[in-house]
Amino acid sequence: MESTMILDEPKAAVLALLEHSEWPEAGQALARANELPIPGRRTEQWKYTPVAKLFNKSYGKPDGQVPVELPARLPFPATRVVFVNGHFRADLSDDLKTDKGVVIDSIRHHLSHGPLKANYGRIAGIGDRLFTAMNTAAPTDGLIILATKGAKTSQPVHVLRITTAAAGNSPMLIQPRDLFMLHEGASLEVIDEHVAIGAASASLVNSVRESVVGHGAELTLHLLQNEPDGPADIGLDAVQVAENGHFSVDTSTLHGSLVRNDITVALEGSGAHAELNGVYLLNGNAHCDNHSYIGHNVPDCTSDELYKGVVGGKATGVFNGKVYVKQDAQRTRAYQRNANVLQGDLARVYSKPELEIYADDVKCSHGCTIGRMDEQAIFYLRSRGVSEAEAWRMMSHAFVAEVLERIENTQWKEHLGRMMDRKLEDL
Amino acid sequence: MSLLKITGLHARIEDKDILKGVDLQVNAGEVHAIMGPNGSGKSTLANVLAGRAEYEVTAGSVSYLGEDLLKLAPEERAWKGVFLAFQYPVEIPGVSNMNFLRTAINEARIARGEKEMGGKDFLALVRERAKLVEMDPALMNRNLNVGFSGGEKKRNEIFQMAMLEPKLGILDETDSGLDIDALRIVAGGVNKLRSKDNAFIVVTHYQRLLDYIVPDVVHVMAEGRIIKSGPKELALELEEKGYDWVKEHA
Ligand SMILES: Nc1ncnc2c1ncn2[C@@H]1O[C@H](COP(=O)(O)OP(=O)(O)OP(=O)(O)O)[C@@H](O)[C@H]1O
Ligand SMILES: [Mg+2]
Repeated sequence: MESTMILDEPKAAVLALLEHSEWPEAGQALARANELPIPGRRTEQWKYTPVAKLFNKSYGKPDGQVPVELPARLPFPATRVVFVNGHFRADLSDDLKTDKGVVIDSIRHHLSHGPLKANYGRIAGIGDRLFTAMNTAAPTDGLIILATKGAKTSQPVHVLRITTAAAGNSPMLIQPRDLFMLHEGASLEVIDEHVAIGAASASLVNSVRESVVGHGAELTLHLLQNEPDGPADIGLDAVQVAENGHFSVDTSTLHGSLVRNDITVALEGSGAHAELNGVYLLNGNAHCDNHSYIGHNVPDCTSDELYKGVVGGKATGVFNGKVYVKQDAQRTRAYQRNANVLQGDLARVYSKPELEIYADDVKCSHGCTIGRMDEQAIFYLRSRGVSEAEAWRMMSHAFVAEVLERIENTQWKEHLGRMMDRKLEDL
Repeated sequence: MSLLKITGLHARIEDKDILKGVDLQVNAGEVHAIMGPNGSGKSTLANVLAGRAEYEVTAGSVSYLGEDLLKLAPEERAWKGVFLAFQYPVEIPGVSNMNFLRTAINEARIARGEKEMGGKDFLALVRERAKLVEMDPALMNRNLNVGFSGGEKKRNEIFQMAMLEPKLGILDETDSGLDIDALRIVAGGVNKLRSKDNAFIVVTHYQRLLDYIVPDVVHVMAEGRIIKSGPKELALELEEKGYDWVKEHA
């Protein structure tokens, strides 16, 4: 049996690291972190993603100044912003002052500024989420992007977050904290890529990002988790979308020892739209958990979710999609689908759609499938001379292509397609 | 020269015996027709030859070009020149007709120690072979068989066969689903592929196909065995008298 007392003990050691932070609301957050239990198997939202082990070790503070060799640039123009172990590295980043009306900067530089104060901590309330409390208690650093009315970036922003193997291999606790604010009619596209250099699997990256999508504004996020031997990666994207605002995200998990992606979207103005897409290709001992919550809080909003995964080896895929439709959110359209292909006998998938609907004039659909690759199709391809491995790759690619097709940025889509094909080679 | 020699072949699926001792020899340059009632095991035989794993071979042997065919994986058989045109071609969403064919051709070339075919040569070959079976070029770039009509699927099978140039082509009811014109065109395509070095096994229910693709031998299969073999006239006789007649006289 689990008991909170026993589970709470290791937490104290981790939380000690978060004391004396000067970030806004840090004190209350730390107090809350002390109160909240470590989610265990009996916590519904964390049932299939065991995090207790993350608290069984002592972390050190992340070192942002370690020398790193940057990976190759994306094969298309993008403004690169580099964080090393959670710390902003101006020396490794591009010139961030190129677009009029857009501020891209380390969030640390803005802690006392009005726009930050007005929104920080407001979109991602702590509630009973321990990881948000921990993050809020002592963020490492993060990215702030402010886009004024009608502002647009000339090219996507590529946020490269590098986790290195810590000196002496002592694990680090890294807590990125972002704030994206898009005013009326602004539009912003961000590629957020997590990479690990060296054996970083003992570390924990606990991220929180708050995004405010204003009236008629458009925010597009591309999240890429490509971290062989990478850290545990627990993240929350909390998004608020105003009237006619548009939020879309695609999350691609190609590697990850323990990945948890929480996405919470509040549709707050009529005509607001949210689109959530995801692909996970897992093998070995990888674990990826995509948890989404979409709140249809006002009438005439739409949301569409499609997550697909191929899960092999001893890997685990988890999907949980909650759609909440408030009583007066009439004419809501909410679609959700999760489809999985299992390979071998040791891979696992847990999929759970949750619809909570209180309005009567709504169109909602959800579906989840967990199956095997179509043997007949594989045989057909092989009978024409396509090797078994290649046939399997073709089928896997075809399976997830439906998600890729939804990505509007063709350069990103193609780049991602190639990376997925490479990943499929060793699946 | 013997291309294929099947001896006492038994096969089952899910504990059900289907092939109960098939003997068949096919020489290079020949066309063999296999006819027989529904459920007699014709497709099973075709699938066993192509290497479908669901069918378990319980006895007998198959020698292809002097080699034990049953030991080879389906793709290895394809690389060595075995081709099965499916009775029910599979629809595969997300896989393009062209991409897949190019992969198939090049894997075979690599396996045979040949140079890969470049994009230009491939396209030229596609154009030429599509003409052979009068295949609509619009179908080429579509997903494999997805949304193809029954006849288009069959035509696509023969188009693929023409691209892969097999030594042993097995056509499982390619004629069913084809309209009269398509039947003539597809049969014409097969005839152009015929040579003294290759052979075809044509499974059909209708003598009409055999007017176009004239067989050297006609076999009748019933209850998992070949119970009668004869010259092409046997097909006519079958059409007239039905299978009971053969069974009685077998
Ligand atoms: N996957 C399977 N599971 C169970 N039985 C099968 C399976 N495949 C074939 N059979 C059975 O094996 C027998 C032979 O089938 P097969 O498809 O080889 O016949 P056929 O001679 O090709 O018939 P047709 O002329 O109708 O195409 C049939 O009784 C069929 O029901
Ligand atoms: Mg059949």
